[in-house]
Amino acid sequence: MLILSRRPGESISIGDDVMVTVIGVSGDRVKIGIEAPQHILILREELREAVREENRAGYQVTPKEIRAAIDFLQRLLEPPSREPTDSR
Amino acid sequence: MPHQMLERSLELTFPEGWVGYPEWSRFTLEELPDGGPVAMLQSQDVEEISFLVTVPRLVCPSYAFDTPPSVRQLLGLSGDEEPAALCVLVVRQDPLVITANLLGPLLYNPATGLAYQLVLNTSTYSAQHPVVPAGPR
Repeated sequence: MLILSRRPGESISIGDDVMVTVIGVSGDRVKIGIEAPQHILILREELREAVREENRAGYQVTPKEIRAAIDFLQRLLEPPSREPTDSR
Repeated sequence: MPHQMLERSLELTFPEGWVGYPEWSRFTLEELPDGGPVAMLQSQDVEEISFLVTVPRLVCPSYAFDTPPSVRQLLGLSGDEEPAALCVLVVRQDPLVITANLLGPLLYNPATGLAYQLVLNTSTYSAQHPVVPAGPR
C-alpha cells in the first residue's frame, strides 16, 4: 500500500481522472473530497463489506429455510396488486 | 398466490459477478411451487449456490434508489427504462429471523437478462433489513 502524508487542502491525483483532496481534519475524522468521472462508483468500504457478508450468508439455501421463508412471507406480506413488474 | 412480480424462469447474467464474488455470473430465477412472493436464484455454474430472493418493495414499500448511468449502460437500459430489482433473503435459525439485503439490490433488465449487484451509497437501507419480528412460532 502506498502511504502518503497530506495536509488539509492538499490533494492526490490518481490517474488522469481522479482527484482526492483532504478537506479537513477534526479529531479522529478526516473529511475527504473526491472528484472522479461518473462511471466510477465511490463507496464507503463498510457498505460494500456489509453486502459482501450478506452474499456469503445468503447462499446455500436449505429446503427448510425455503419453507420457513415462504411461510413467513406469505403470512406477513400482502403483495400489492398494482404495478405487476415494477419492483424498483 | 398470484404471480405478481417475478418472471418465470428468467436467465440472469452478472457480467461483473456479485460484490465480493466476481465469479458468480450465470443464474436462473426460478419460481418456487407455492412460493408466492419468494423465488429462487440458482447458480448455473455451481449447483450448491442458490439464494432466496424477493422484491424489495414487498419488504419495504417505500424502497427507492437511483441507478447510476454506468449501471444503466451495463444493463442495456435505454431512455427512461428502469431496472427490475430483487433482494436476497437470509434466513437465520434459532430464533427464526429473516432479513433482506436492501443495501445491495440485484438489478436486472428483464429484456436482456443482464444483471448487476449495486451497493447503494447511502445508510438509509440496511443489508439486514428485518422482514419479520424475531421469535419462534
